[in-house]
Amino acid sequence: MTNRLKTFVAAASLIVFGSAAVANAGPRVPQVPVVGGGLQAYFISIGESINVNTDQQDNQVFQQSASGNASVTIMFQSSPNAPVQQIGVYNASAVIPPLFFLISGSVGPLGYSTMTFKPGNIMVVNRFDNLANFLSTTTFGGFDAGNFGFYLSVAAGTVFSQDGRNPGGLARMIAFKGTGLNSGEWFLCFDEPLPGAPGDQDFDDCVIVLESVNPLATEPTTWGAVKALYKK
Amino acid sequence: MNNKLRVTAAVACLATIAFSSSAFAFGLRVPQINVLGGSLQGYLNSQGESINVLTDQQDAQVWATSISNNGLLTLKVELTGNAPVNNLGIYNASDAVPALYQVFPGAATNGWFAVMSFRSAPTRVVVSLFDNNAAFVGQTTYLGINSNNFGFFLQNPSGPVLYSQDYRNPGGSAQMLAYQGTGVNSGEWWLCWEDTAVNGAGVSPAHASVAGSASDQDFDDAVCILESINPLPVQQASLGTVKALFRK
Repeated sequence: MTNRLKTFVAAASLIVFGSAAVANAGPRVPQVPVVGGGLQAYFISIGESINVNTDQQDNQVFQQSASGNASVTIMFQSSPNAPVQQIGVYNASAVIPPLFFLISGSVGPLGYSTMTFKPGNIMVVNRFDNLANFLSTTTFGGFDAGNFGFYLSVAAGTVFSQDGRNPGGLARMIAFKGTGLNSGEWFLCFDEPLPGAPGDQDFDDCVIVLESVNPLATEPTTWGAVKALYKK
Repeated sequence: MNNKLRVTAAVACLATIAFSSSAFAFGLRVPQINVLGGSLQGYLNSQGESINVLTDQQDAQVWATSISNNGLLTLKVELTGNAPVNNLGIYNASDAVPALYQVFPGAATNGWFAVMSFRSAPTRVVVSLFDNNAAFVGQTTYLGINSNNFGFFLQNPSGPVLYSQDYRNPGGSAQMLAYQGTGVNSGEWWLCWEDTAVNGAGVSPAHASVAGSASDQDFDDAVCILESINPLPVQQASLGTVKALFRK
């Protein structure tokens, strides 16, 4: 990579990247406008007391907990693309991260996958359909269980939980803490891309519940830290 | 069951029985249970937890699934000679004589985990079991589980079945202590078992005769992490409620 290109990529990265810190974050600032009432209606229908316009958490990257296991369950899909949605994780600190596939939208609500984090940056994914029938397993290498993000892919493109990776630095996934009997869980609500345009900002295209994984705070990185990525 | 026996059973249960309600609220266990030895504290410390095993016990004995309808249970450590024969599972907390639904067989060791998938029509739980390498071991479906009110049990050949609900245990003793995870484990629950009856007063003659059955009260015989499932508050039952159990 030439110095000019390095500088360009580093500068671009500086604008959009966040690096992980240790503490859980607070509310997202500013809160992202959620268009339409689909997401709010969904939460109301399941007895959640979440306000989609004021309860967004500033969580874009995550880490494993002591159990070494986590699960992701599809809860709601309001999109004609639901059957072709692909949901997965990626290393949040990688410049161009490989995508680790977790679950297909075709399994529908209550379909789920487990992630098991093993020493040596190994992650084992086991997938189940909505009736809890075992579907498949995949072992991935090179996964960073201490700092990862989520993605959603459809034919029109891929969106990431880290705002900075999305066109225009736009939020395409917003996170909410579960309340009541859902305490300890995270609702991740994706707005999928449209062909040639950003999404419609309804954030109800794919809603997943994340368990046994906790978020890391997102902090602006330093110029030196970004440059260091390219010196490796 | 004749009427006199029903009344006796109901009164006995009334003294100790707990059942769940719909609200999500619980506090510390009162009184806190004495945990002997330092191994449980040492283990939790090694996991980066800031739990004090003597003062952070939660009054959590019965449980309900969350909106995902999946619960993840991981067997973290077993510090007991009974490990190869300790079975762990769940049961309906409101049943007088509950059926036992096994989650972990005795063969399960550190790092094994299970997903409990609660489904309807018919009401059931599908238990998917994995070994410590996350390899799929097998799947069992149990009918009739109440996903909104269940407890955990531990069973081995050396003693009676032990339950997360104190009142079901010999002498009404606590056999399982629950702690809330802290830091990166927020939202998770540590379930810590003593695998021998703490109070031998209620142990049947058959089990009392088993050599070496004295409890060491270390509560580290089986330590699990529970995720996606939250406890329900423990409340005193009314006489009518208890009697209703025996009318079923």
